[in-house]
Amino acid sequence: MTGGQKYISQNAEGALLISIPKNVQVEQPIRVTIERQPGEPLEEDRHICIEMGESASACIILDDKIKEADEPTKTKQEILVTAGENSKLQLYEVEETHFEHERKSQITVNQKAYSNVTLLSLTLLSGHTENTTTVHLNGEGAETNLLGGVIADGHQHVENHTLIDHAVPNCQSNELYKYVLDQDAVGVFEGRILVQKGAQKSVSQETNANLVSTKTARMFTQPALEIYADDVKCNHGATVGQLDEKALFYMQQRGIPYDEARMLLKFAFVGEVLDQIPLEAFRERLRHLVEKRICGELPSCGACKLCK
Amino acid sequence: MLEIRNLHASVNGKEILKGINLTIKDGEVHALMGQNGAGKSTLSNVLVGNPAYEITEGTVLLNGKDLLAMKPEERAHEGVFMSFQHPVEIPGVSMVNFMRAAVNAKRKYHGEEPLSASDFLKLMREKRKIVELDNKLANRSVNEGFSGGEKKRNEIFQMAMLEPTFAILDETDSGLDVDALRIVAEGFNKLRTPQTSAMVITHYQRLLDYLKPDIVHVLLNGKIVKTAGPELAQEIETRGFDWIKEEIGL
Ligand SMILES: Nc1ncnc2c1ncn2[C@@H]1O[C@H](COP(=O)(O)OP(=O)(O)OP(=O)(O)O)[C@@H](O)[C@H]1O
Ligand SMILES: [Mg+2]
Repeated sequence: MTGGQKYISQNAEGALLISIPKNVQVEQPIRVTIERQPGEPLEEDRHICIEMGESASACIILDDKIKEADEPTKTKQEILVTAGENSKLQLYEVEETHFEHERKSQITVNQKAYSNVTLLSLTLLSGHTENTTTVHLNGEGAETNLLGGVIADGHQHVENHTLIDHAVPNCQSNELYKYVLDQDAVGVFEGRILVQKGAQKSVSQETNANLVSTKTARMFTQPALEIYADDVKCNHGATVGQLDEKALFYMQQRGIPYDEARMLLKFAFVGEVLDQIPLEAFRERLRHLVEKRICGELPSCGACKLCK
Repeated sequence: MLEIRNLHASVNGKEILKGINLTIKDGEVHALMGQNGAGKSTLSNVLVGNPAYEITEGTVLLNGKDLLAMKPEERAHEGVFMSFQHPVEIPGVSMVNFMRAAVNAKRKYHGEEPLSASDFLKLMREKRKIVELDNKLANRSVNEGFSGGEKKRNEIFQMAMLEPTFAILDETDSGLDVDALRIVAEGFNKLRTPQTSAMVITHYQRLLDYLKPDIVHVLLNGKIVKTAGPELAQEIETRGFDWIKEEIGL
């Protein structure tokens, strides 16, 4: 049991509560692995509540690893995060489920003054996923980093809907979501940045970049800025592109087989998101997982073309 | 040995190469010169299998094997290397991972075990020295943000890593300052073995002063119109191409 595990509890309704008291710095990452045991219901309603006390800091990893069952599985998840004044939270969510899994997840984050939250949502493997992330910057000086990575193939469908709400002045938000779509996968990104009236000196950067590597995969993206203050620095942008043919050929000329060159490019593309993860050991683990996923080596992957 | 016979190629439906005949024996360095747009890079790209170019006629044999039937990566494994006129930047792919993938793919093709991480890094270090490539560059993404000259130096570094038997240098001298040119050219000479042959494309004599080509060809309008010894490059340096055009009645 790592140091932080003692801050986890479960209430009578089965909700998971992670509460870090004021001024406590949890050194080791708190890791929660979600699995379904055989015989357990196919549908799950999950509630997680994370409370960061004033000046507390922690890193929480949620590994969603629901395995394939005889029938499709389903998860409804609600995560509620309160980041107290000056607290620091890194919350990493990794979905590595299966093609017959449906997931609807809703994360709501309320940030107090000078809190700093990094959220990562990484969809490595899934069937139909809809993630909704809402961050309210309610206290001055609060900072949020929203990171997202999606690797999808087969008939996967992955949606991310995000809203960052700059409710008060002097807050900062960075958002980067990257999708790599192959085969018939469908990706959706909807990212709204709201700067409320009076939220002066808000700084916000939102980027959604997508790599669509087949003619049949599709990406829908809609970044949106809604600004009701006049002294702000906000940027947003979205791109949808294909694998760089010139780079592929350059690699082949050096002897790297075409398929491997494609994988290297895909990995490089998502790598930019992983680069921003401050926790080094975890970043390396994710790199490894992403690499395996892109190479078609994930144990739970049986349908992508490299596995056949 | 490389044997090109009656090679025709087009790009976007336009014929660029109009019957190239050229034989390069082991150990020989051939210089290929010619005006802008003559088709020098097209020939290079066709030899390395760039899918943007369509071959309409002709054959190319490398050591008796049908080169045109091979995939680009197989050609590389068979010893063909091209130093690109315009090397591509590949953000997010580190030089180390890129080179490791390339070196190990070649080893696999030849039935050899992949290099261990430490052996590989040792090889990188050794080969970097040959072209004096800065360690900082070797730790960055492939060509990303490299200056024009740094990219060219990096091409020859890659050549050092892959030890080709037939190398194409497409204007490797362009973009290199005087000192860098000397280092890169001397590096190339160090890499040569009695089996290595090369096709060197350049507009200037300076590179050839170092590489000492055995034969110089002039490519004009998709055909090799003149072949002679190294003195031909000297003559082109002073006289240009017009006299050759007149000679052949163009
Ligand atoms: N991808 C392409 N699409 C259209 N035209 C092309 C393409 N590649 C080459 N060409 C044309 O083919 C001709 C030959 O080009 P190539 O690059 O082989 O010339 P070169 O001899 O290498 O010239 P330089 O000395 O300027 O490098 C040129 O007219 C060029 O515009
Ligand atoms: Mg050229």
